[in-house]
Amino acid sequence: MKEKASKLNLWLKSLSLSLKDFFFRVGVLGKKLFSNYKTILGTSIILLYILVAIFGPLIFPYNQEINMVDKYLMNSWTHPFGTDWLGRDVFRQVIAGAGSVLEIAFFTAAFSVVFGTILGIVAGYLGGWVDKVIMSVANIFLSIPAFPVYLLLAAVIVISSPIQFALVISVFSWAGLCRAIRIQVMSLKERDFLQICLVMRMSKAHIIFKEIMPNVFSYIAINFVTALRNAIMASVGIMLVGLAAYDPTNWGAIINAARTKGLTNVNNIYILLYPLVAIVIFEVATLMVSNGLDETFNPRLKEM
Amino acid sequence: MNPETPLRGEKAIRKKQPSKGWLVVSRFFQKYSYFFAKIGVSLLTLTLTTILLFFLLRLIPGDILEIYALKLQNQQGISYERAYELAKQLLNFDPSENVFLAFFHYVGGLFRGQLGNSYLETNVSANSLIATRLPWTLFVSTVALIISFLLGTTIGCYAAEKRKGFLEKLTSGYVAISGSIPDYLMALLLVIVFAYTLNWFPAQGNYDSFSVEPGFNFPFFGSVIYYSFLPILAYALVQTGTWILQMRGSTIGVLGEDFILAARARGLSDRTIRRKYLRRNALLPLVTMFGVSFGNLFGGATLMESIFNYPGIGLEISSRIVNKDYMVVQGLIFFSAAMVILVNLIVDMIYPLIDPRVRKN
Amino acid sequence: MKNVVKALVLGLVTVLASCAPSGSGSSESSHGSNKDNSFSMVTSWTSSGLVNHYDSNTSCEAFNYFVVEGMYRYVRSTDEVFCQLAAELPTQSKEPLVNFKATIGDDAYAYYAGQGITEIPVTTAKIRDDAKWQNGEAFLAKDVWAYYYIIHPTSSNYMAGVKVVDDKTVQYLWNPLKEPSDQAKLLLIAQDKSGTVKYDEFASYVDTVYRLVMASPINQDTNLWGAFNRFSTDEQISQLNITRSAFYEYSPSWYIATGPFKLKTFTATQILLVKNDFYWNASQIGFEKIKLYSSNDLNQTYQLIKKGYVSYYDGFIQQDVLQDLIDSNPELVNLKMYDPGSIGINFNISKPLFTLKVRQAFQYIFNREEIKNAANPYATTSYYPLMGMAESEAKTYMSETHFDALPKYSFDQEKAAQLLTEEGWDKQSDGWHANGALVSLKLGAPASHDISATAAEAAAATLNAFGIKTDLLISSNFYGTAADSNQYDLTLEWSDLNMSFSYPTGSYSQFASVYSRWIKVERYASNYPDTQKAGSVKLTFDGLDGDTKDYEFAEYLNTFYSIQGEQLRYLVDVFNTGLANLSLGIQLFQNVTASTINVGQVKGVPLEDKWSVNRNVSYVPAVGTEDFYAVARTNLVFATNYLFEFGTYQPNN
Repeated sequence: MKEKASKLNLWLKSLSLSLKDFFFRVGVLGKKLFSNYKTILGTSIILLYILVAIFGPLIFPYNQEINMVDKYLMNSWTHPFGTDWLGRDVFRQVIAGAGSVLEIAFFTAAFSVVFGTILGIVAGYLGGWVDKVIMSVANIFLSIPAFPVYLLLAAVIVISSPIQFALVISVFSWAGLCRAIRIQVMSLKERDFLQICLVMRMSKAHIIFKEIMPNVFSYIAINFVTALRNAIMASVGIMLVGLAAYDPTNWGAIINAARTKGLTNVNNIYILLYPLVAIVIFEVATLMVSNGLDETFNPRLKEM
Repeated sequence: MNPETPLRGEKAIRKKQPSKGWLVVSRFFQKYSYFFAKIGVSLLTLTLTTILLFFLLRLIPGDILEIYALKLQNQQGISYERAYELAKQLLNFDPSENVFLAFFHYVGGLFRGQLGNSYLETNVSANSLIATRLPWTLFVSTVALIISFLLGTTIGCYAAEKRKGFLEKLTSGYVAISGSIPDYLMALLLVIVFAYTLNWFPAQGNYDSFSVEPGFNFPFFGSVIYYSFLPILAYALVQTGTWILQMRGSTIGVLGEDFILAARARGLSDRTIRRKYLRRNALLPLVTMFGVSFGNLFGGATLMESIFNYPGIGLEISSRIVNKDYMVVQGLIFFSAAMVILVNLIVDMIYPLIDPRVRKN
Repeated sequence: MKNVVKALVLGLVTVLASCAPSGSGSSESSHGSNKDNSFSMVTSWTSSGLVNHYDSNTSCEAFNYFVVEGMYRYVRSTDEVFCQLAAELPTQSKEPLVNFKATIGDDAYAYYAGQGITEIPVTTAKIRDDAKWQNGEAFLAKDVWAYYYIIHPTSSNYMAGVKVVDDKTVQYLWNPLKEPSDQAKLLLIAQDKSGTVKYDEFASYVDTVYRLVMASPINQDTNLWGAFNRFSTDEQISQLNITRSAFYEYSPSWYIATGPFKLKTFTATQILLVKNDFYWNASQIGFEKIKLYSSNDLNQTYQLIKKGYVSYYDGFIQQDVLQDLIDSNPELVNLKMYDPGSIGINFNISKPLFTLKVRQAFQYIFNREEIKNAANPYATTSYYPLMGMAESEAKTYMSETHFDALPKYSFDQEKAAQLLTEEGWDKQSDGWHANGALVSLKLGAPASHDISATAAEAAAATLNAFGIKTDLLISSNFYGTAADSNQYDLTLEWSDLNMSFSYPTGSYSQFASVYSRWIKVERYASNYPDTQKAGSVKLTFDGLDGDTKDYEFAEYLNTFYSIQGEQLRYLVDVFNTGLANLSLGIQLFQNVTASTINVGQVKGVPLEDKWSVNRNVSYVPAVGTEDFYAVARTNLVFATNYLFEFGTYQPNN
């Protein structure tokens, strides 16, 4: 009995030690991350967006009923962004749209980056017939244009959830990243430090995550940011084809509608600007975060 | 012993030994096996793409006859039944033809160099469209791509090096904004400012057919360049940001390399480092992207062409998809896909020459 | 690399500097008067591959307005008929059948004589003495004859033949068993572009087809309609198709036409037409050039209008944009006229949810006035259901009593809720439920038609606010196909539209061939034994005022042209009342379209008393007034070259 108790004690002690160690490491990482002002600023903006997406519609509910009397009003306290051609409040539209836009954008970027990176690393690292198969598939998705495929899908299904949306868009965007990463990996493979790793018989997982990833990280981060913007624009194209229900609060949809209604009407230019600025700020924030992360993980750059 | 009759062992050996010709050929294949493998993969991809495309376009629902009849009805103000009859006569296309048979016809035509004929317009085929519309797209896109690539990589390189400083902030700002604004808005902005407000450049079209005759004469060239200025500017502005971003990321990656540190330690000037080591190494991953971008040019940029009303291949493809002009669209997309695959193949082939680290042992 | 770039930039700048003046010097006239006697507009065309005649695969809308003509032409929405190649309006007469034995064929003569016919209705038309083709050769009756025998327009379904009396006189011989009313005869001829087939040029094709047609057996079934009452055998049909295809593909050396302007340059983005000096009225034509631009982007089009690059624009312009255009360019005038069609919501009645009572309930849900204001503020709100024609046409063709008796709805959501509850629907916290499940509808609308798309947004918002969950599917392509394949529960586009002249057949046949498919009205199978009904809509209406007879839609559709006067009025009453009672759709408003004209460039624009006061003319002339006809003529889609032919429009310089 006593032995068991002491064994348990020991086990508990080692667990608490490793936990402390873990939190310590996280603490160090956190300090590292947040010592960079860029990362702080960027992350806080993104957090703000997420908060707005979750709580915004509760505080400023969006009423989609048309109200022609209030058509095309300018900014005021009741309508901070004015109203659109159907008399609806643009400010609340932007807030209401934040949720679905962010969801679609994030998931798409995540999917394409994850697919692209994994497949790219696998193809570049393993080589052989695996490489050839993956490259063929990537080439096919690079060559076939998205538009006819969307038309085809539009006849068969109607997208109903943001995840479905994200999947459909990311199908066409992972291929470019995949190719680039594959080439990177292929060139890294021949480098000295990797050869050493191989000689030392380090596990493949270790090699991939600890040696290769940090080198392609800047790349992935940049592609993530680009994928975000492309996702928003692609979602508009999909709505216009009838593949998904037309959501008038989607930022890209507002921009497109304002553009097609005619920019000779100055009101439309304003309406176009509000969601555009929202998108731009969001992009800038993500760029800052990726730059910040870059600087954190590649300390050698700081010394330059 | 008869010298003619071989010894038992010799016979066996001689049977095993292949002929000289075969030896030469097989050695040739072995030496360049890397390249042949790549070509094989590319052909396979091309074939798969063709098959996929063909059946994809067929699967999109919609009766061509009905769509064409509705169009005729609107245009000529005749009854729907009459329009349907007219459509049947005007379309040299049999919608009830067996799909697989049609596919064989198509492939047969491919081998003869026929990419596909339009059923909507009689003397129009994918070949003729490529000949007339592709040069315009390529002209604008290639010039813009080259300008943006050169500009982008140069600026990206500088920006990565000089991490602090006004230039870096400026380029970051430019990249962030131009990356987030949709490209057609950028084009629209240019058009509004330069064409409509300032009247410096024409807002749309590819040349002024009201006053110049196409051909090898100076006014024609002048008109073409004049009309292409804004589109090229728009494309270039939009794409430079991406190149800056990519180049910056890549340069940052290279800057962290040991050999850069070693070069500095050796006392080499910044300029030499930049020229000899930094830029070339950083450009490497961008070469694939350049290849992909160049390949994509052959598909055309539909929205930009639509805003500038520039008669390029992108506009053509999208309008014919809407009209379900299968054969031509197939031909055009096949051509575009073939170009993408070809360019990727070339890039893959050339890459080992530039980056020796990638060579197969 | 840097030096190369520098050199390139330098070279570019030099080239630009040297040719920039020449590039802009040719420019289109800007603000102010018309400096080069040109008329410009934005239009669209099939841009690759030009075949030099009208009846081919090359189509450009604007050719209808400037280049090609017929003997007569009607103005859509007003039905005014004017002469183009003809010298004067035709004369109608009845002649002895035997005189035309040679023209109609011996077999036809035998058939009609066997039915007891001794007289044949004849329309005689004289061609202008000085009417010429654009290459200078005289336009002859033989050319008209050639047109009818190779093209087989709708009017030929009611004809027995076309006779060339002499070089300048043509006689249309009508089928005595299917004779249309006199007004219909004129309108039928007035929609044919008979100046597009030059006999000399196309002789081989025309002669072959003529032979095949005359060899085709006479149709004995009075319920069938075919060109010249002859139905070809299968063998003949394939021959016909071969010859016709060859005809459509053959491209002469010049564009075959007779109109005041001829084709000079044809590129993907610009078309140039120049004055035809051989035109009979060339002395009255002041314009030297017509410049046609294409545009893919509405913003570009609006800028072209604003900057004065365009003399005329046809179509609806959104209210705020229009106001901005009018305010920034003092030479723009916008005139409005009725479109012979109504925008509305159509039900997909194959969905079991849409019983008759539910459909009637839906009629009360929408605030039609507000939807109209959202989509097209100049339009006229309609409180009727789908009834087969737009309100203004219904008023013209129906009797007053029955027009007033049509079901009329209003904006009353309480009544709608009451009717729905009576039908078993149940309003819960998350919306309306029917048959135990939440009601979720898909509303489809075409993205390419701004009015419909905006109205659809408004309608979807209304439904959602009312508690019926509605997803809006705006499709830029294949809208019709998706509607066909049962994707939508509701569609928002035209509910009643007339594509040709106002005779009731126009909108009824549009309903029969297009909208009834989206509504999923039951149809006869396409191999139904009675060929008149095969493939057509299966609808029967009750007689009115104690009339116990049934009227089947498919039976009367093709015979409308032959009916006139009181009988016509009664039939229209029956059809409209029947359709309205079925509540197959909701008419939201009758559309109003517009023409935007730059009066700084064009002289002679009608309604000057109105637009000199307020250039954005909001007054839509009522049906039948003088202004009604005048304003319709300014719409080139409706009136084609009316205002050019007689020199009403002149360049303003």
